[in-house]
Amino acid sequence: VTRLPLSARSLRDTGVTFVPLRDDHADVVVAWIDDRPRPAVEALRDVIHTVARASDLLSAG
Amino acid sequence: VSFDLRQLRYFVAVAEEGSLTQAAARIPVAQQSLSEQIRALERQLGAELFVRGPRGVQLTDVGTALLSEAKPLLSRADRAFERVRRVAVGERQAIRVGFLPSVGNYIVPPLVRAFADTHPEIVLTTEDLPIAQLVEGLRDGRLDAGLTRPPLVDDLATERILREPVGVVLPAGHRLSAAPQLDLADLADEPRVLTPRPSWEPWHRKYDQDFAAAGSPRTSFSAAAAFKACSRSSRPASA
Repeated sequence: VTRLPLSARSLRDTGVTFVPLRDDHADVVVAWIDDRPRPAVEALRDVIHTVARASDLLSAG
Repeated sequence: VSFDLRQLRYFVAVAEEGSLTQAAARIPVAQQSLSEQIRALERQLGAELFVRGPRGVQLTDVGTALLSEAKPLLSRADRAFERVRRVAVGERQAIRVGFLPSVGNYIVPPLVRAFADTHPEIVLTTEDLPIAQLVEGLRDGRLDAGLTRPPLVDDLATERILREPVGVVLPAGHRLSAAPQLDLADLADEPRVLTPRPSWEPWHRKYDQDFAAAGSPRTSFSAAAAFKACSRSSRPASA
């Protein structure tokens, strides 16, 4: 057996079964080195959160 | 609204310095002019922003409320100005983003479209990478940001984008495959398959901790061939 996020379910359809795990979850994060101001990274973070608020990203997979 | 950004900058400087004299030196501006602008702001709001004392100034409740609004507003204004300035001079920035293949299929396409629409002045390039290379890229500066899964390492700043449910992948016909839902404890006696441990130790540690907490202390093992057979395109969520 192995453990995968729900979004991976669409990637396989032969020979295996995907069963949800109760109260288990996986986060996706944006990561960066916070050593100095990075305007482009700030812009990216703004866009990421706008996109995440405006759409169901999981259904896009 | 009749106040302007300059008045807000003056106000924030005074609030942060706790002193008109020091704020005037920091900006820099003549103290009389600074004082007049703060008074003008107070008139426009119909409330005092500071309590003036012999040793400086202290924010009133109204001043505290304005400070919490003014700082993000000024920050946003500065970013907008800088962005427009770059467009005006034809200067293009670049940002390089690494992502795990298992998150890229649903996050990267809408993100790239939205970023191109809102920030045409910044060239965004993406690269799918294994987790260890992604972290290495952030550390050595080849990447500016990464879309990945925790747990990571202490020297990276992170913000959660989304949280998704997790499931278990079982061979078809497995005794548990018809269950509508399972607990980790249900898998206590099952051989577990995941990527090789050196691929990213923090994931493996978390994976083992989760199973141990569920009463299944057996250390997970790597079986690359079996993993490929049941998971051709992804990697474990927190392994």
